[in-house]
Formats: sequence, C-alpha cells, structure tokens
Amino acid sequence: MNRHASHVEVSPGVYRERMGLFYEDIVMGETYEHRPGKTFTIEESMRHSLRALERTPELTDQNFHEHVDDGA
Amino acid sequence: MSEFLAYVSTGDKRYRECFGLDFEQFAAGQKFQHRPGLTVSQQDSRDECLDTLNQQMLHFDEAFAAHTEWKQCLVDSTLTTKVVMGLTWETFAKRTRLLGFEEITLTKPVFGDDTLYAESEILDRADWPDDARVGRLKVVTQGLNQRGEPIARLVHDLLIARAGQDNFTRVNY
Repeated sequence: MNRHASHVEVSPGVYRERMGLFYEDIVMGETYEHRPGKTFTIEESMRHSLRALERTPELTDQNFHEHVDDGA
Repeated sequence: MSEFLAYVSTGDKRYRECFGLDFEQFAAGQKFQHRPGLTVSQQDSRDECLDTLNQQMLHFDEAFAAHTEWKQCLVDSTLTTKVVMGLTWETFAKRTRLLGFEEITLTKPVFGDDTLYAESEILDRADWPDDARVGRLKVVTQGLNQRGEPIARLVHDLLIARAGQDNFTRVNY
C-alpha cells in the first residue's frame, strides 16, 4: 500500500480512513505542509483568557483597544 | 484496490496534506469507516442544550433523570446528530453543498462518556445537471457507539466537487 494512502480497503469495497504516517513511512529530509489552518476568533481568545484567569485588557477588552493610541 | 491519498506532492521531497475524495472516486456500494471517534460527555450535552435553548431537563437534571426509564441523563440528540455528521468530514471534505436529509433516526440512547463512531455507505451517485463541476451523492451515515451498536442513521444528499474543481485545488490551499 502507498505510504500516503488516506484509506485502507479492509474488505472488498469497504474503506477505513487512515490517520497519519507510521515511523517506517517517515523519510529524512521530506517536508510536510499541514492543512487545514485555523482562523482564530477574538471570542475564543477571550474565553481562553478567562479560563486561564488572564485578565489583561489587551486580550479581553475591545473598548480598551479603541481608546489606545498606536504609539502609546 | 482503489487507492486514495492523504498527501499531494508539492515539490521535491515535499508533501501537502489534502482531504476528501473527488466525485469520480465514489461509487455506489462503497463503505467508509470514519476515524477518529469522539467520546461525548454529559457536560457536552449540557452545553449543547444551553446553546440551543433546549429546556428538556432529561438532558441536564440527573435527579429528574433518575426517575425515568433510563435512570440517568441522555445525550441531546442534536448533539449526537452533529457529532456523527462532523466525524464524516474527511472523506467528504470536497462537499460543496449539503442538499438535505432524507432521514434522521436516533436508534438507541446515547449517554455521557459513550464514544461515537461513524460509517458511511454510498447509496447512489449521479450527475448534477445544474453544475458540471460537481456530482450528487446519496449517502447513509450510521452512528455507532463503543460497542458497535447503531445509535443514529442519517440519509443525506450532497454535492461533491469533481477532480480539480474543489476549492482546495482552486485556491492552491
């Protein structure tokens, strides 16, 4: 089977998704470009801040930012 | 055997992760076992109820649920449905449209800490006259628990991009 196969045929016409590469499939010097990317939203950043008790207004207060000068 | 690839070559010793089969690679009768599964907790179910304004206390009141035939809280079926659909994302990653559900059946109760898996069978495949870049699939997706018992059955119609017509390829993602 191709080391890059995304599915393995477990019985005729039945395909199981494979995840990742085995150690034997890794070749030194090859580069892998990961997909997908992930859009970060302000909301999840805020939620993370709050759950981590990180209360700096730079992360949690949009109103604060609207009043901050770039050079400040 | 049919071979589907998880990577495309983008240069010398260079590979990019890719997902999903092209419409041409699907055939009626194929079955796909999706991986990974997902363990759902009672808290996930509570969150789902709160997010959707679902006031059925069977989903979040253990004391109440103790008096029902199940003796414990049930996982909200909208959570079960969306988890099972979500688990199928990889094989159908080149979906451009979900045309609709023909059937959504919840066949067995799901409890907190159950683990859900999904399997799909291609029921039918056809051209889509409105748009030559896609084709139509009819798929039945089964949700299974950790004991392999069917907990949901979802029959859905979707459009899948033909080779080279998917958005990943079009924007060189």
